[in-house]
Amino acid sequence: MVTQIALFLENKPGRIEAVTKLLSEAHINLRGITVSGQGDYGVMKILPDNPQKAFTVLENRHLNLSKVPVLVALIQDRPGSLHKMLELLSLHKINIEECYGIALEQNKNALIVLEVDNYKQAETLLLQNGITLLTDKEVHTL
Amino acid sequence: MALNSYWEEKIELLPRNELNILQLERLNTTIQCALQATFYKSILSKKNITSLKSIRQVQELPFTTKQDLRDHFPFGFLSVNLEQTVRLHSSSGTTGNPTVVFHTRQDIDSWSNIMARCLYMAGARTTDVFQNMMGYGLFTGGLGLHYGAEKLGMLTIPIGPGNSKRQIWFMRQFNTTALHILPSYALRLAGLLHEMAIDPQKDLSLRLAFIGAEPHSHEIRLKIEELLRLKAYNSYGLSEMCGPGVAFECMAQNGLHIWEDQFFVEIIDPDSGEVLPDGEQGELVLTTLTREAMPLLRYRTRDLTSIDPTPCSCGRTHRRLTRIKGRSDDMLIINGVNLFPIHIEQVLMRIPEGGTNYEIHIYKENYMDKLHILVELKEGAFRGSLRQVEQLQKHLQDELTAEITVNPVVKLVEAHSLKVYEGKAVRVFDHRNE
Repeated sequence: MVTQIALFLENKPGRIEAVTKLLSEAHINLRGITVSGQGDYGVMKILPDNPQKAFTVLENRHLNLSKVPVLVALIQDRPGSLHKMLELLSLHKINIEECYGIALEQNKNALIVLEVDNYKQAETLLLQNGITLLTDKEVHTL
Repeated sequence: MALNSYWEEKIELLPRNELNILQLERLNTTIQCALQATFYKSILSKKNITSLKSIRQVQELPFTTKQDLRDHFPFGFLSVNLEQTVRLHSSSGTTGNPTVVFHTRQDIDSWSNIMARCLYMAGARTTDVFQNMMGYGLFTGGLGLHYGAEKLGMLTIPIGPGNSKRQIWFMRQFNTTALHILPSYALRLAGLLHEMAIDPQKDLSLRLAFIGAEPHSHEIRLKIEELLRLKAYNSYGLSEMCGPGVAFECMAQNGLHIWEDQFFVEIIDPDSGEVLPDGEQGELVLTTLTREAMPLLRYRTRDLTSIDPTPCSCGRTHRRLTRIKGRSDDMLIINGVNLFPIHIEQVLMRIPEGGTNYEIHIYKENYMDKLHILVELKEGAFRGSLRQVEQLQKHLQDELTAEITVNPVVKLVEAHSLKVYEGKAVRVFDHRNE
């Protein structure tokens, strides 16, 4: 399991930057980031190298935030490998709430970050089918 | 149309000295009636008041407030047996006690009569076709004008508000000549007629509009008159007195004659309670003079206005109220619906995810009032998804709509992002006149 931090932010200039400033001052590195806007507000999701420290830093500034468990799958960076994994999930009727990818080294590996409705079932399923799932620590030392 | 034509000539032209005698007589009848209600029985007996010798003695009577009505809900102000009542009207909202007003058959009759008097004064006649575009139901606006219009003898179309295309269809099919409409809605309707390429002058038969239930400026009235090609008359009333019909403009359109055979009028300083002379602006205080089911003594309306005692060109002796300037409390009027910010607050506080800080913004959008409510998302309440925020906003919106009967736009904002005040918080921002 990997801890992702989700933040509720107003959709206006400077809000994302306010978060990255706090993280940068605390020397926290990000493995992944995604921002989705919805009119007047948006949700920013980050994969920090040190989730606990990042959470504390942001929480101390009274931001609206939450820890969200995600699955981080390490897959080969080549045609069909993402599809194979998603096919497995859909076959077992596991719904994907959110998903994004990070290419690691060109043409070698990629990370797929998944938020699913049935976290436990998805984890077991992917592990049984030989897909590597990273831990917090592994994401940190990547 | 003749300016000097009257529904009840004798009473409308009654000389001031005779009007004063009538008022004193009716004040004493009203006090006797009020003594039958538990609320007045207790406070008047403490002051040992059973009758007045002169009109000036009115000032010895205590004020009655909306809070008194709420505190003595539901029957504390009722002066007759319930079997003598035929109707009740009530304010909206389910949080706390609403303001409930009872009517006997005679109350309804005299209300209908003064309403007819108002409409006749503004030029309505039996030949008119009247389309009542105000809400029916617990709100007094719709039924008040309806009964008055029937009493006068107009063909009355009880269509109620909304569905503009259907409104226009009725106007064209039945050659509607008179409307009862919110000023904001009148402007929106004018816009729609323009879009539909309907020329009010050529395609419609409108000649009168009765506008009220929400404050509006002189300029708005002129605009309504110009766009709809009719004469618009200002209506004033409040459910505590009966509803619409308390005061109305005559054809001179220069202030609203308040029916002094029905209501005793005072203007007070809202802070000190001191009675102010004619011409000075203050809070309107009314005493009912003929109501049976629920007489009210020196009721503080919270509406700010002044009395114009100068003779009117129409000849009526009943003095005129100047245009309502605002409120001495925090009541908001949103598209004709009365609303207190505290009701919004009570709903917001019921939702555990909502923070304690919020702001109410009121805008004009397409001539209609629109309420935007910003609520902070409480620290720790965010669970990480956009969907949660959307659902929460929707939930708040539904709860508020059910409570205040006004459909607001709810926007969740970050915790601690709204301004914090050291002293009294400013939570209501009215942008309608910007």
